[in-house]
Amino acid sequence: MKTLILGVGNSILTDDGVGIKIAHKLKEGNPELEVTETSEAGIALLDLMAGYDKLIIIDSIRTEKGKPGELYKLGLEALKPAANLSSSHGIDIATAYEIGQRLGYRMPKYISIYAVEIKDNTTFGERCTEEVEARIPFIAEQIIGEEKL
Amino acid sequence: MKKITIDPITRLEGHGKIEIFLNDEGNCDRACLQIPELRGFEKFSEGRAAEEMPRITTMICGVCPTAHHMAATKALDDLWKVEPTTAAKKIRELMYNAFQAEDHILHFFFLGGPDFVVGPQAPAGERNILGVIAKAGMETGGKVIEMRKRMRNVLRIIGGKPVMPTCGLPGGVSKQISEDERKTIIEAGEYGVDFCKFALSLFDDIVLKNKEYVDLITGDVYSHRTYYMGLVDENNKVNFYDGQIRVVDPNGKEFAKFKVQNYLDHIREHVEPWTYVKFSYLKNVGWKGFVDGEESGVFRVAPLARLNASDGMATPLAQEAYDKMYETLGGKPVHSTLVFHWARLVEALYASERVLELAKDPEITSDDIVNLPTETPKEGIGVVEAPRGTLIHHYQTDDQGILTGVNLIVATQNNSAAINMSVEKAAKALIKKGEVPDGILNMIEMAFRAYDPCHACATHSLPGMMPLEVSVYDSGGSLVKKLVRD
Repeated sequence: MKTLILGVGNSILTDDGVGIKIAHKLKEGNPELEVTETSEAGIALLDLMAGYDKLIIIDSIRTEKGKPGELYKLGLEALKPAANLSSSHGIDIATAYEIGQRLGYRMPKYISIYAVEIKDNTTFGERCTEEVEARIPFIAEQIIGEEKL
Repeated sequence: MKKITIDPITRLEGHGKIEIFLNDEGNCDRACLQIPELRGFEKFSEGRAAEEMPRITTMICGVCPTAHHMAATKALDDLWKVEPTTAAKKIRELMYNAFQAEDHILHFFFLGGPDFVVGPQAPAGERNILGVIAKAGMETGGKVIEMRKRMRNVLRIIGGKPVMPTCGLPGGVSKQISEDERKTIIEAGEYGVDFCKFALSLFDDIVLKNKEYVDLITGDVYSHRTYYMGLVDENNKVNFYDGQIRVVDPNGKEFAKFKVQNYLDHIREHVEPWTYVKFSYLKNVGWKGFVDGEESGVFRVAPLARLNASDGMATPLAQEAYDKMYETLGGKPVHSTLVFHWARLVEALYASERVLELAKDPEITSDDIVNLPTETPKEGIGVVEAPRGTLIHHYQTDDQGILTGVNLIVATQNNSAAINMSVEKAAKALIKKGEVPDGILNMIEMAFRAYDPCHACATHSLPGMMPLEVSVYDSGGSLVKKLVRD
């Protein structure tokens, strides 16, 4: 099965880049994995995900009562309500996936989306906050276990 | 592992928030758009080598990295006082136009266009690219994707990567274009020109032949008589990559024309206590508040502003489209905010024609691609027209080229006063005697979507889109209604 691991985020915006760091961590442990990073979202993901059987997305998230460093696994349907668009980033993964399917692209049959609860994604900085940084190795292990990588 | 569903409240944190304040009569008194603040870019940059900036600044914004890359590269030319070779300038301009064409088409078909193609009254869930495909046909969707793919390939060929280019150096570019690559770029340019002609004919059929849409476009709700700004070449034609900054007044008369190095003589930033956004205004007119007209220093940038600030387009087909637009709308300047969408298509055609012209230029494959800097750096300023408007990078360094000061004037900031005015005008037109119709959310969104604002672009956290919340307060400051679009 052709699998892509996609780290999504902005690596100079403190915790925003945590998905990219985890994706690199996975690659360190297993150089044969196909890992890509992107700071784009939405429709640009279509170009990246087409042609794979399986896609593992690792991104950041901020929820109301979440604890920084916590890991969530989301289904595509969790992102589904975002049907209306207002910025160039305004196309969610689910819509990008649906567009790909309708246009006849070979889209991944299996998609896992991992989201790491973060603390700060509005301050420029190359390092994550301590709470999030400390969890990276553990989260990488969790994803390896979950996806049997 | 914890499983969650994202609810609208969690999506909203720090994102697009519009606050509307009513007066004693229950009519809109003022409205303001709040957006997240990103902190510390200047501090982050200081102490770094200036030549890192073309690569660092691409990461500020996932939407227009090529614009930041190019503005930064041009600031480095100026910092080291080195003139790029003519081939390097052409290569840069070619890449930049491929980026503009791709970005404009993305916006028209995915973001702004659905309002028209699917219809402003259609349910929110249908006003997206899938709705466009449903109405305009699957073939259209395929063409949009193919157009983007080809232009992104041009960016990859020249820039090294399709998203975050790495080719810009002070005095030139890092890689020449091969003959084989030239052929690919020519094909992309030809595809782009054909596609943009098709997009304009689609606009003609679906929008211009529908009286309801035309009335909406030209109606007063979305109109502001402001100043307009854009880069122009030596013939006052639109240029995205280089030239002088030209400003016209609300009557279309030239108000100022200057080199970017003198921007501080013309552009100032106004600060309001309720937002972190700085509002650009014309220094020589002055800040008079969120009002339009000749007495107010508020100006607009981006597609319609560029067309208004110029005397035309430098390529033949785009010039025809430019003439048609102004003839249809009764001459220059046009003040209707929704016409930004039409202007965006005219510009996409120009950008595609320019890609083709430059790809056919004999010098484009030259190996004379960089002049090495020899001067001691001190201060450098660069400008380009980002898809969303005039973008300025200003750097100061020590004599080793280590940054000591950074100031960026970004496109959305130049439009931010006008965006607030547009939101307020839509709210004033729609809210009467305390009655807040649900449709206001869409009408307000249409106002600011025309500007293609880049507010959510620097953070990428899921779900990767900008939610919107509108809160309405009565004259006593109590919340009377909250509308959420997630």
